[in-house]
Amino acid sequence: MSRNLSWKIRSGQIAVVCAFMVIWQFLASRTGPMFLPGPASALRTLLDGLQRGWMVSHLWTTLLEVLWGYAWAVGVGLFVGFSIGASPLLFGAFEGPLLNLYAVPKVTLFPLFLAAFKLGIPSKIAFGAFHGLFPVAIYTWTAMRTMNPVHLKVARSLRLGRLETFRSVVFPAVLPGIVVGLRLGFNLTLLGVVLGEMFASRAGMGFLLMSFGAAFDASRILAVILVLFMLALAANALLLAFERRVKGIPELHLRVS
Amino acid sequence: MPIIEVRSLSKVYRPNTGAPPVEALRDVSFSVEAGEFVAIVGPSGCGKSTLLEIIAGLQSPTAGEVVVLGKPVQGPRTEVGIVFQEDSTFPWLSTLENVKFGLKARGVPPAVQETLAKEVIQLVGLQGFEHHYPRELSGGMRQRVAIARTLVLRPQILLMDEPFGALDAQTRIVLGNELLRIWQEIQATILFVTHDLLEALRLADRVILMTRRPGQIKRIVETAAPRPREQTPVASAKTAELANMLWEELRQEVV
Repeated sequence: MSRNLSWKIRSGQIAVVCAFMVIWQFLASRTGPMFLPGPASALRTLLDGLQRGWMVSHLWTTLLEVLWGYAWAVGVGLFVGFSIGASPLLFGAFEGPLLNLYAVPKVTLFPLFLAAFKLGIPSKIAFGAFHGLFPVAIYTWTAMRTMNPVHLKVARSLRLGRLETFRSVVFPAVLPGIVVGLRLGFNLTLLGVVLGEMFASRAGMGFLLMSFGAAFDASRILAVILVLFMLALAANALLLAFERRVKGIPELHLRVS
Repeated sequence: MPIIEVRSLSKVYRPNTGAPPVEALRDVSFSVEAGEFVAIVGPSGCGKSTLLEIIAGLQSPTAGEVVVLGKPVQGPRTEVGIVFQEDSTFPWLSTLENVKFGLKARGVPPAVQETLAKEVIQLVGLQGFEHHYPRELSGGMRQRVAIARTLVLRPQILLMDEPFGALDAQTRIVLGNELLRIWQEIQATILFVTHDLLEALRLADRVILMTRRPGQIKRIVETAAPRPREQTPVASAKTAELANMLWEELRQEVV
C-alpha cells in the first residue's frame, strides 16, 4: 500500500469521527442537556470523574476484572482449543456441545456464577472469562483442523519429534487463526465483565452505569460510556496490531511491486 | 545392488467410517539402480502417490516390503528426501528460512546452515529471493523453494510426487530442464511420479506405467534417449513414437 493511499484512509477515518461528534452535538442541542448532554459536556464530566476520583476506583476494579478474566479466557481457551484441535475423539465429542453452549445467551447463566462466586470481583472475572474463552478456543481448534496436512507430512519426512513438530510447524501455522480469537475473546471478556457489574455488584464501570441510570444523571452515564469505549478501542487497536504483525500484513514485506 | 527395491507391495485402505475397503496397490514390484531417473506414470487415483509415500516411509504397506539402501523401510529416513505435489513451503518463513528448516531440525550449526542453504538456493535459481516470503513468489518459485528445502539435506534418493503438477505448461518444461541439470550435479537417484506421459519420457531413463486402481505395474520401458537432454515442447521423433505406443496402453486405464 502506498503512503498516499494510507493517508487517504487515515483522513477518511478522522472524518467519520468528526461527523459523529457533529451529529452528537446537533442532537444534544435539539433535545437539551437533561436527556443528551453534548460531547464537550460529557468530556468535562469525564475529566471531573478522574480528577475528583468518583470514577477512578471503579475504573481500576473493572480493569482488574477484565485483565484477570482475559488471562483465564486465554489460558482455558487455548488449552481447550489445542486439546480439541489435536484429538479427533475430543473434537467429535465436544465440538457440538461447546458450539451450542456458545450460542446460548450467556447472560442467562449469570445467576449460577453469582451463586458460585458470590457478589464480589471473582464472579465478574469468572463471567468475563466464560465469555472470552469461546472465541479463543473455537478459533484455535478451527485453525488446527484446517491446517495444511502437507506441512505435517514435511515434518514427518524430516523426522521431527512431537514437541519439535508442535513448536516449529503446528504453532506457527495456527497462530494467525489464534490471534483473531484472542482479539474477539477480549471484546467478549469486556462484555462479560461489564454485564456482570451491571447486574449485581458494588463496584466497577457497569455498577456506575446502573447507579447513574437510576439517578438519571445523563452526563455521568455518557462519561462512563466514553471511558468504556476508549478502553475497548485501545485494546482492540493493540490486538489488531498484533494480529497484523503475526499475519505479516504490513507493507514491509512487499518488495515486488 | 539396486538402491530401491519394491517387493510385492500391496496397500488396502480400510476406512473406519465403515465404508468399503479401497485397494490402492496390488502386488507391485520393481527396483531402481543408484543414479537412475525413473518416472512412474499412471491415471489419476492409481495409487502412485501412495506408492511413493510407502517408499518414503510415510505410510506402511498392507503386504510386501520396500528395501532402501539394503535396509527395509520402517519410517522416514535421512537418506531419502521427498517433494510433494501441493505447495508445501511454510508461509511464515522466508525462502532462506524455509531452506534452512531441515538443517535446523538436524542440529546443523547456524553458520553451516547459511552456507549450505545459499548454495542450494543458487542451484535452484532463487538467488535474489532469499528474503521473500512464499506469498510473494509464483507457484513455480515456491516449488523451487520446496525442492531446495529437500535438496539441502543431500538425500541420496529424491522422491518427487508430481512436483510440477500444479504448474502451467511452460513452467513445467523450464523446471523439468532445471531438474535434469540439478540431478546431474547432485548425482542422486530420482523417482518421479507424474500423470504426464510426455513429461515422464522427457525426463526419465525408465518409465513405469501403472494401471488404474488397484495400481499394478503394466509395463516398464527404457527411454534410451542420450544425456544430457534439452527439453523442447515437442519431443523427438523416436520419443514421439514411444509416447504414442505407451499412450495406447495408458488410454485403456484412463476412465
